Amino acid sequence: MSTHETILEVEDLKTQFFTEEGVVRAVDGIDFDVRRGEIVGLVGESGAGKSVAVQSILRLVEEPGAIVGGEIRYKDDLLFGLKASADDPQERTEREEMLSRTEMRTQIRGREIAIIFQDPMESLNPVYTVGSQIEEFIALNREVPGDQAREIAMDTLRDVGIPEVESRYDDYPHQFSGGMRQRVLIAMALACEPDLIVADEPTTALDVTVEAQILNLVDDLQARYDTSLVWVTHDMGVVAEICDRVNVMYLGEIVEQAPADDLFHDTKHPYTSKLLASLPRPDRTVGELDSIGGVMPEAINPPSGCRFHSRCPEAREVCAEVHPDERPSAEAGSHHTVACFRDDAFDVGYWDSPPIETEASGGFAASLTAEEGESG
Amino acid sequence: MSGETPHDRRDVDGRADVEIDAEDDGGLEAEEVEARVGLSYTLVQLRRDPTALAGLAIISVSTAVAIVASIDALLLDYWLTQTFWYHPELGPHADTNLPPYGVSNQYYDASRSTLAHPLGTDFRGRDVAVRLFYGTRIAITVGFTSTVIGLVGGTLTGAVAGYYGGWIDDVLMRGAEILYAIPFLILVIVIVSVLDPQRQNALLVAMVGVGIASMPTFARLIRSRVFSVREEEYVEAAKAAGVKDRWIILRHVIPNSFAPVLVQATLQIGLAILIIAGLSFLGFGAQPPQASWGQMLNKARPLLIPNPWFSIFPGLCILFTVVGFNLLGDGLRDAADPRIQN
Repeated sequence: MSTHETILEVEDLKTQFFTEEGVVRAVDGIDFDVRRGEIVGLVGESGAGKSVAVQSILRLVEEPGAIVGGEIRYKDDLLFGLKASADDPQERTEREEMLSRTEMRTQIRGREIAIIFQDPMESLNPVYTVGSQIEEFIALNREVPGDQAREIAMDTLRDVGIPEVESRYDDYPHQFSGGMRQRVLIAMALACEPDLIVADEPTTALDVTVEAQILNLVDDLQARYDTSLVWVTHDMGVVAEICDRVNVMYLGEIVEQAPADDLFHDTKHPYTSKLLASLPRPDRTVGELDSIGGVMPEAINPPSGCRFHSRCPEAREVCAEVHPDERPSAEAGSHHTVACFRDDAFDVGYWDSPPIETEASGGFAASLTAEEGESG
Repeated sequence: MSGETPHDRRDVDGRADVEIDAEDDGGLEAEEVEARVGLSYTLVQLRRDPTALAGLAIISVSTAVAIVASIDALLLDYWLTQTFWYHPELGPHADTNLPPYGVSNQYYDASRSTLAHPLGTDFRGRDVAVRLFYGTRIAITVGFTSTVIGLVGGTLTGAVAGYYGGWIDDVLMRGAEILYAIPFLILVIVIVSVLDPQRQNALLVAMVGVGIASMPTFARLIRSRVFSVREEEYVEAAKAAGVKDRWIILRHVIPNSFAPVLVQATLQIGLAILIIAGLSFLGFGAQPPQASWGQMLNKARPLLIPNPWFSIFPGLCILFTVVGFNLLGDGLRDAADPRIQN
């Protein structure tokens, strides 16, 4: 699978929101790519910038937000790219070959890259029948006559497992259950035959049994339609279930990239370890789940050095001072890239640097839990 | 992937999902809440509201009368009324100033009244009943037409302003506020006096004027709804699927913001009828010999003391029609609001 061509390439993408309180660096220089037929995970806590990252790919970021840097390539098209302006080297302007807004709308959105949104309850228009909404998108993105659009819509609904399509076709969204609506949304994305589907936490709103069905369905359909997927989630369990490669995001940056199996068995970044450790495991009974101490800092004013150092149990002095970029791990035979000084790819004297107190290792939050333990 | 064929999997999945639905109480509640704001729910609520139904009955009767009168006037050249009744504009049909059937006062003797003219005749000997019948046509036409002008213009302006926000919103809504500040009644009177001294098109100018004057109300109303609807995920999904903004506004945003506009439109029809009757009363709306309620009131003004029925009947017509629209509008507003328990 991994030998396939790269269809989406995101390089040093920066998306910022210009608010009254200051500039929010929601996405701050991320790199990742998607190859044909692959499911790539984008994982992180709420507020890590996952959704903004995928909205940036389709250039759907709205005021007061804007993509301020980096490059997004899809197949042979430049979705976003800047160059230094001829008159003023400080000023950067859009490159000529970058797709215009109209080209984005008519050539890319829906047709080449489709999005499945988080909340199946809200993503369908309540005033139209389910069938007519799928038909609308098909008519828009595929050159087919009206009656054929209906055929395609019905076939796709059958493919995603809607029972009795003929009778459900003219039902309204509120007549469908959450799981069924999510299937409809998947059908809407698939019906336009895009080469890449971006799924923005599509199973978060569903209960786990339905979630499992949807994941199986997606896995199955992905192989059948040969579509690539970017799967945004905060759930490491979902990642393990379907992703081929994973990008872990923290506060607007990707801190670790690896094939899914490697990520679970050979975790490099402390943040990834903590994310995995905070997952409830039915096979282990623990008194209290191991959560990540503290909360994610504001993206307006990210911590100096490594952004995770304030919550990292492994943090040392150097982590607060130097910012780690993402590098291929120095370990032999590893497919990881990681942004942590504990890896030998970095030579900043981490191991000689003294450990520091953080929220995770012994700061304020930790002392609180300790007291609770004693009194209780 | 499993060894099952896709077809098998689908059946298994479908059945499993249905079972889950049956147990899922949370889903049912959500559905109920959604059903409470839908159009069919609004209509069901309306059926339990006797005053709104009374309003609906009044409106139905006047609209039916207006439609019959229009067909007769436009297609049949007054054949219908002339055959079975009297021509509403040409007279005389009998003696002038006949009192309504069975009515007398110190100036008029009841013996003069006749069942052939149950509401009497006017100062030209024309049957009052047939003129009132035809007055309905003008009232309903001007009410609906001016409201449609305001509704279409206001809805589009407000939806565009609310959807795009920013400077487009600023420009459009400041424009609407300027429109609000213009005294439209006076403007209509001036336009008619200057451009149309014969007052051939006075009624048209009045209709368009009242329509334009009502645009800002509709624009503001829908704009505030669009602000929340444009953040809905189905709008985002439509954008992500490459749907044009224009189409998103027309197909996705406006239908989901329309409920309060519909209520306002019902009330506005009543208001428009009232305003244009007022303009006709002043002589800047319907012109003689057209049978319009406002214009009949105008002619009745000098005759208020000897024969008050000249003004009472058109006045009652205006009253009932406007009250009808207001009752229905209030009923719709209550029915559409899920917070009000009927």
